[in-house]
Amino acid sequence: MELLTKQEEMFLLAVFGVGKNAYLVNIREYLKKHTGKEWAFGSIYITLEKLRKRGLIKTHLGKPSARQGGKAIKYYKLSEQGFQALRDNKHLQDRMWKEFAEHA
Amino acid sequence: MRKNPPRFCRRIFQFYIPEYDWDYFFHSIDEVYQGLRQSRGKWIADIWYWTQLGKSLPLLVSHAVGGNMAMLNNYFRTGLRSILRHKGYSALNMMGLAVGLAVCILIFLWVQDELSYDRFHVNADRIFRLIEFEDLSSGEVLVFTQQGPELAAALKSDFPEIEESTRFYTLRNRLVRFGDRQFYENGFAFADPQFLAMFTFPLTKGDPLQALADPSSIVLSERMAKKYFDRQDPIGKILHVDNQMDFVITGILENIPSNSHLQFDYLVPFENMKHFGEQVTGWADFYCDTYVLLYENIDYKEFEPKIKDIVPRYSKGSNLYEQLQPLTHIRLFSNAILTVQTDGDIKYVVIFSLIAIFILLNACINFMNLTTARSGQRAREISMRKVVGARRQELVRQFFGESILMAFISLIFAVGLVYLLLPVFNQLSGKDMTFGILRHMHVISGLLGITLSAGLIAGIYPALFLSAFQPAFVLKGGRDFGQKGGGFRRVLVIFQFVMTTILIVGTVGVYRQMNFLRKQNLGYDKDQVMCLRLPRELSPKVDLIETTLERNPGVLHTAAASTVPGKRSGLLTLDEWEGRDTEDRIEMGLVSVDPGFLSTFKLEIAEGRFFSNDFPTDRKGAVVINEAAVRAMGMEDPIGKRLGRGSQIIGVVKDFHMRTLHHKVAPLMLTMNDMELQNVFVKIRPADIPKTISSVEAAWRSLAPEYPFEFQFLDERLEELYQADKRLGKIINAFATLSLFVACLGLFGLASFVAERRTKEIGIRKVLGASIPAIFYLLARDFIKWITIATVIAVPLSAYAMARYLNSYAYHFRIGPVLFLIPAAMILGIALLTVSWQALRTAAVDPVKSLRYE
Repeated sequence: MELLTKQEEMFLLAVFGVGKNAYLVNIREYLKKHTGKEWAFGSIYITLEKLRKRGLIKTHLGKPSARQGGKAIKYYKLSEQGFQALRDNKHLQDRMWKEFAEHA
Repeated sequence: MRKNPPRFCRRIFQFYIPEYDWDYFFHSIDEVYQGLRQSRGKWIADIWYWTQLGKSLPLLVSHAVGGNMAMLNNYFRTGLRSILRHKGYSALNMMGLAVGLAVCILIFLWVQDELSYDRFHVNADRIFRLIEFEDLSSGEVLVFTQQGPELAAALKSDFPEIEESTRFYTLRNRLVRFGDRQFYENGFAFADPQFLAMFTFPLTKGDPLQALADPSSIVLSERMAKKYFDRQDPIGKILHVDNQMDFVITGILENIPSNSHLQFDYLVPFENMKHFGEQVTGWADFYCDTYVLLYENIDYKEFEPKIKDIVPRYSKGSNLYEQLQPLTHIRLFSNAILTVQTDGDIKYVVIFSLIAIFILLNACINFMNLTTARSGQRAREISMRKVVGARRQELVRQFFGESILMAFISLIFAVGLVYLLLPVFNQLSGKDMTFGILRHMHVISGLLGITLSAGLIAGIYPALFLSAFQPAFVLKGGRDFGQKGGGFRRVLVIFQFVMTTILIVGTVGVYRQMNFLRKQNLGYDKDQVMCLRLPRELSPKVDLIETTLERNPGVLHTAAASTVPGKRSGLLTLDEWEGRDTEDRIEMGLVSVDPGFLSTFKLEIAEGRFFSNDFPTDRKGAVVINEAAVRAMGMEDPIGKRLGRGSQIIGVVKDFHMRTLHHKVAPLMLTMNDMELQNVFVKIRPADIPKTISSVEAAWRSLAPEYPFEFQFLDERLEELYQADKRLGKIINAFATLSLFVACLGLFGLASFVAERRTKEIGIRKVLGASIPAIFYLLARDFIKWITIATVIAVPLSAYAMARYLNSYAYHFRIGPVLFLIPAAMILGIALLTVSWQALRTAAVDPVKSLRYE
């Protein structure tokens, strides 16, 4: 299974959480809303790119629109592997926390 | 209207983000930027944009590098090739950088050591020292670290915020004896039993909570245990102190780390103070250090005002007030405190850090200079790369790779240099640092960080400048790349020499100040005076001792006093004197002397007479004051006037420097109180000193057989008081030399480059009949000009720095033009030598050869 760091996990959840039309600006807002932290665009971009390369995220280009100066926007979406990774990690963590609770 | 975000910032983003994502990425970030710009204005928005870059840069860089291992390997390889191809040049460059880095590492270690003071205590952030203030009516504020002995207990019982408190006091020169081993020991400390629980001074033997419970217990350090007991177990043994007190050893301390401001070898319960002639009660008779341990989560800044006026609450009429000083500040922020002798000062930390940065910058500048200067030779290589299809980014990365690689090779040399230089540096700085400290993780990461940034700084100009060549132009045979950036190079060289000049002026200045101090007339004669310690019990026998010693033909005079010149004397606050017409009180130094004091130190009498054995009344209330005291009291015709409680002035001595030259001559009062005499001074003839010393020793042994014979010459003792200043001088000297070396290395490289580039021109000139001196002048002219400009810039800067430094002395030499002329001439001379070696070599070459060149 794909082990995820806390930050990767958070980003995947954010991509899912924003839902349709997830792109840099609204992913950043989503993260800010939940973590209260101002994320830098560069960091978000790189992290998402890394996740994309691992196949956890898919991207597709939107229609070029006049508002965007005739440029297409790249939207992010969870891939099937992304969903799987999130589920696996959740299970793993639940198990480990349970053990912790039993012994602590 | 759409407005653009900072272009340069965008450029950097573009460098790291693949081109196919540019539109998309910038669209997103600009969306927020535009919103911000409309709502908060251009400035805020621009700053936001930059912080966006700053925050994500580490990730962007690591991604760019990590994502491309193959490319990285390639940069590494081409870098190595380029280094090896130009061995001489690379060696020069790396030598400079290695020296710069080595200096940086040494200073880094030094700073690290200074900052580490007192941090080893587990409770370091909860322990505070009390400092006491007194406002004088003159507006001056006196700061002490010491308080009345009852304060510690009062603090603890009055304030629930305080978990624990302790008093602390050290005595010097205690006579410690076990069996037949006896020595005078410094660092004999007194503290309350909870001291060992508050501070982290671990015991190797004994229980820290119980060790000081019994009043007659003593804890001593491992090294002292070894000195007195060798391999025996010291626990339970009895030490005799000053031939009057017995202490049972209850614990052995690990040796106190050198980075602790509390230094001691013996520790006994505080109440024993009373056996050493001091009061352990009261608020004003005796003063000791007070430390408190606050409970966790107490903000000391909030708590501090509550304790401010605790002293007047207990001791009516007192105008003293208290503050807390964090334990970790004590080493570096205690300069303003009167009762502290410290050579730690945040000022030095800042100065040395600046010097380190300067020297490293110098080395980086060399690197940039040499690389850009050589760009002409590399232009073809770069152009070829471009033609074959290298993108600019890749070239930039290649240059950065090269400079970073060089920086890291230099680091290896630098670490070797540090290994060699550390013992010397330890001696210079009076520290005890070991190479082992380099093994610590945070030190290693610090070093790698410094090296990486040095590589980046050094590579930034070549990377941006060289990668911008137009291949078509270069390959067509366009020339003059070395010329381009010449202005920039000039600025860098001038900057280098400005810094070097400042450092060298600093060295000369410190040296001259030390010389000035040595030659300064102290107002008394310090030569051939032996200082002997007089045990308290022998004070009544002082006359007998002196007359016995004076019988020796080698001895000229003897004297006794309560203190030694140069050392702090007792202080007295005087608020009564005849004809007092102000409300001012005077802080006056108080020293007990005997009649011999005048002749031994060759003091001069300004008015009246000195103490004499012919006047028995001199022992009761007669005082001699110095001229400064007369001035301070505004007295006219002081002889016979009354002073304080029943004292009468019998004479006035001319001012002399009872303290070091850091201080102005202060009002001083001499009395004749036999009970306080603790030092005997023996003025001897300059001839046959060893013989005199041995006969003085013999006399001492017969007079005081139970005390060891230990002495020190006064002039040597005084020298020690200026050790911190001397140390500063030596360190600055060493760094100035290194800085000059690095700067000259750069100059040498540049000179050889210029000479090489003009080989053909020189050949033609020679063919046309130019003489060797003319060509030499042609080559050296520029450098002379740069260095002259540097000197002009450096003079006011260094004059300012010098004036700041000399301010810490009450007496200092006058800053004159010579101070600047010597360094300037020296630097110009050395720089010329450096340049002329190359210039002469080029000028002397057979023109046929130079014309065939290329």
